[in-house]
Amino acid sequence: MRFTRDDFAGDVGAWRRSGDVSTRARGDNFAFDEHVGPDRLADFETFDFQARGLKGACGEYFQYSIVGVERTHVPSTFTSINERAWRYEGMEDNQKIVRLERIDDALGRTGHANERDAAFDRLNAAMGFQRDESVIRPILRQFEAYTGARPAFACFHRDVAKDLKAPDWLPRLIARLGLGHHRLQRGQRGYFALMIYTVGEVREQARHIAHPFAVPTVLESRDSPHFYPAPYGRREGYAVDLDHRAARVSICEFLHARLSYQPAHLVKVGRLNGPAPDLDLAAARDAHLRRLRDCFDRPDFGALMAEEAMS
Amino acid sequence: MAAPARIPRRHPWLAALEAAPLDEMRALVGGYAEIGRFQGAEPGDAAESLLFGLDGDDPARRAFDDGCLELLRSLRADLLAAQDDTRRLRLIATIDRLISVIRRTVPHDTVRDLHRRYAWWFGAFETAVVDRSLDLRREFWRLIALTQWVIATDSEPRRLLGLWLGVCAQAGEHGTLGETYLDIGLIGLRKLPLGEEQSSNEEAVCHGLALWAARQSPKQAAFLARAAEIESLYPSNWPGVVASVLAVLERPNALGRFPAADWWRQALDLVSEAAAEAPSFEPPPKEWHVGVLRDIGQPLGILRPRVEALWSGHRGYADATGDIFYAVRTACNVGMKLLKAGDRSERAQRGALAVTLARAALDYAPTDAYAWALWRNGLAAQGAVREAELVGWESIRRFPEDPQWRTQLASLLAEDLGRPEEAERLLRDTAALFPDNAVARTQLAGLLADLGRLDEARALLVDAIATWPKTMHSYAQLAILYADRLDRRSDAIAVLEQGLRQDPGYRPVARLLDKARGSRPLAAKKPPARRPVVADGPMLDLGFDVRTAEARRALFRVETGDPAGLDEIRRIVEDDPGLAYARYVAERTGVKSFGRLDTAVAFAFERARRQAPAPLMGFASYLAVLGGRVLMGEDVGPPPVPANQDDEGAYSNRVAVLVEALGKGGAEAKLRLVSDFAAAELSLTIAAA
Repeated sequence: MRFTRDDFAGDVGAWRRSGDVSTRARGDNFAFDEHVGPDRLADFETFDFQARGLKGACGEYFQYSIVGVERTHVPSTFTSINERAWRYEGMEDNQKIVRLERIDDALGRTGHANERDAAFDRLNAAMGFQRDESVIRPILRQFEAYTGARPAFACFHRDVAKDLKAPDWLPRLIARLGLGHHRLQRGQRGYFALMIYTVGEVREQARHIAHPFAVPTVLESRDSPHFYPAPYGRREGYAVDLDHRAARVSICEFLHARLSYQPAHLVKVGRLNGPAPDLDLAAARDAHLRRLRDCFDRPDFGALMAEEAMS
Repeated sequence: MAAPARIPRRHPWLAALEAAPLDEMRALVGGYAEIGRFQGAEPGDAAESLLFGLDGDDPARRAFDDGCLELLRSLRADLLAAQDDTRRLRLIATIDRLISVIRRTVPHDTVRDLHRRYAWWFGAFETAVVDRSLDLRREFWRLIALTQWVIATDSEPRRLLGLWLGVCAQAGEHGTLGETYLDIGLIGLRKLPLGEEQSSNEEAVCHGLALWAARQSPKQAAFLARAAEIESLYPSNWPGVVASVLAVLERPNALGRFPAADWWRQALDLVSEAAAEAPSFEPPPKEWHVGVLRDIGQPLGILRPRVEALWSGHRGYADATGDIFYAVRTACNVGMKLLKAGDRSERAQRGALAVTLARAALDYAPTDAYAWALWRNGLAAQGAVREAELVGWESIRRFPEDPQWRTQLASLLAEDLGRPEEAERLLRDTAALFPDNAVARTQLAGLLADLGRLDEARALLVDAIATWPKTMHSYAQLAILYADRLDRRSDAIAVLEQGLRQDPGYRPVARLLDKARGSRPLAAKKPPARRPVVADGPMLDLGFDVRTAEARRALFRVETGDPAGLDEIRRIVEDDPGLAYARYVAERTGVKSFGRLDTAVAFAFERARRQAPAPLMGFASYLAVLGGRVLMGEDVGPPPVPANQDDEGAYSNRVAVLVEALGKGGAEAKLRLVSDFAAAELSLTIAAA
């Protein structure tokens, strides 16, 4: 991705020259992304920004072009300007998708902010053999109250099926899906819900959107240093495994149109205590890049953190 | 290679926050704060994580609190000033994110300010309703509901009970709020501070759910699903609580019988009222109420302590249980009787006590029409006629479908405020809006007669008799005019005889006929009219933002040909553009435009045009459809829900009255009435900013 605006290009360059790994990562993501086509780039560069600088621009573009304000908004992610990132449309309807939702906020919205543990325990108990939807429904309703039409990051169930059966399924999933923003501090606790639904259900709800699946680009990444763009060519993206020592196969990640959840989509819940394992972000990104180069046969793609920054 | 990143104990962003709280909070909700690994998180999750582990007196927490409040103030001002729809939408979305951050982190000074200046904040947010997912009104209320504990020791702990019950009652397509608001009302009731007296809020929550069921008529499955959600929160004797609440609510003058009550009993296997839990609280004995009403004519020095004890008992019961019906009815009944009885020398004091009772009733039921009437009448009795006028205008604003507020205010204007010309305009406007209303015509005739315009008065009464031949008062009034003012006694006799042919048993007309045949004056001689002296000093603090009443009066003036009203509207809206009703009036009169999203009818029409989901905007869509039919000259059709005589407070009753009023009259008048009705939901807080 090469900005034509000098200010944006300048910011990318400055970030890539930064000694801070997170900042360098953000700059690399812009430099390496091959799924932002000329139409999308033009749309971004000419967007009506109030903030100054690339960071502010990213925030606004995410909020107003991608998420939107109204529920009926069609994210630019799924419009023709982003055709380069559309995902293969011939996917079988009858296959499962997995998404991890953090539910701290949902528990708080339903009046359980000061008793999240107890509320979580109730919810967990309600997921048992005889599901108690009177406990599940109020939590799920909160997801309907979130603004706009944010595209959802998700993966295929088959890619994580084994992980989901493990006792430590939750930290494994967070690591394998590159959800670095969910890494908790010592003493902190987080609450999560595993949602499973099908490709068909997404399509059914997104009938007003011609192409409801897309490869994530840096513009959807919310400037996260845990995101890594994939090379162009297979219409697929891959999540950075935060545990680079595990040497696991990268999980295919994609975006889909916002889904209104039904109780049956909530399959299980998990509680996680901090601290998260130490993260060597540079090593994780380099390991991921090596896998991408290998998988896509693109030895020239990207640049290792260990090398000098590209100008 | 760089060393593995350890999670820092104190995030570097906190230093930036301390240096520039406003800028950094703006960046946080804008998604461009330098927060490193929390970059991909929701603002609320990120904020909670960034503050995690900090002590309560940490300077970063102080800076966060300051930044939240400062940013919210700034965004509020920007929102009110925004002219461009795109900018307005973005500001609403930004405020929504900030509210979610505040809700997650509960910065105390910010939250206290939101509670203390509730009306000021709410005025800016109450019309920022974009769709089911972006609704500042709902999210502001959610924040208030969840943080009642922060101000529990600062003020009346259960002061928002009436608000949450009202939200429950209106949460559905037969109310003014969408169904998503039921969660808000119930959370508000659940989280009411308990104080020293209450054990829990189960009963109040039951009342809220029952009100919703009675007023919104959900299907059985939907009601039982909601009931099950609440039951799972209260593990004690839930069936007993439900049984006792239903026993209270199904009596006459409460909700009456409603279908969901039977579903509820069946679901909980409540076979009889014997299953009702012995109530922890009871209202004062009926004998107290009966005794006060019986002795209402006693000197106030003797009566007052009994009235206050009666009210105190009802208030304690209402606060404990959420059953507000006894309290509101008692306050209104006693107040009305106070004004009608007693020595004239006590009139002002009785008026003041009636005002106290009315205001107390309105704390629990801000939309109770009787309480508004009592308030106005109490102020007039007290001699506070300017204040009574403002309450009168506020009543018209809040209940535009009922012409009685207008005719009653017209009496006040003519008799107590010395403004008969304005009273005339008000009565003529009422007659235009409500062509079926006989009272407006006959009252206007009486006013014209008092002003010496006898021929006009006569013509009005002749027309009233022709239109409403069964309204006996018109015959009496015309006869008095003929006999006592026009010296046409034979015409007076003819009119009275005509009236008695309509209703031979009507004794007042029969007595007048006797007098007419006997050549006596038909009516007592009125003393010469003199312009009342209206006090000029500072007005009493009415405890609500009187600018809504002033705006309603100004709107009336503009729409009845007095351009001075425009200056008044301009002054009000420039003084505080945060007052939603003032913005509406400015928009309607052309004084100023605030964009398509900001007026009740405007967004109702807009949403209906875009076919918004019925549960969200059912009522607004219905009003828009009504307006559309009026514009097209079509029959408005029946109301969506029939009136319910058992449930006086049902909003559906008001809608039925509106639909009936729309049956006659010109299109312009009808459209004004629909607009007034839609705008009646704006700026309803009683508490002043």
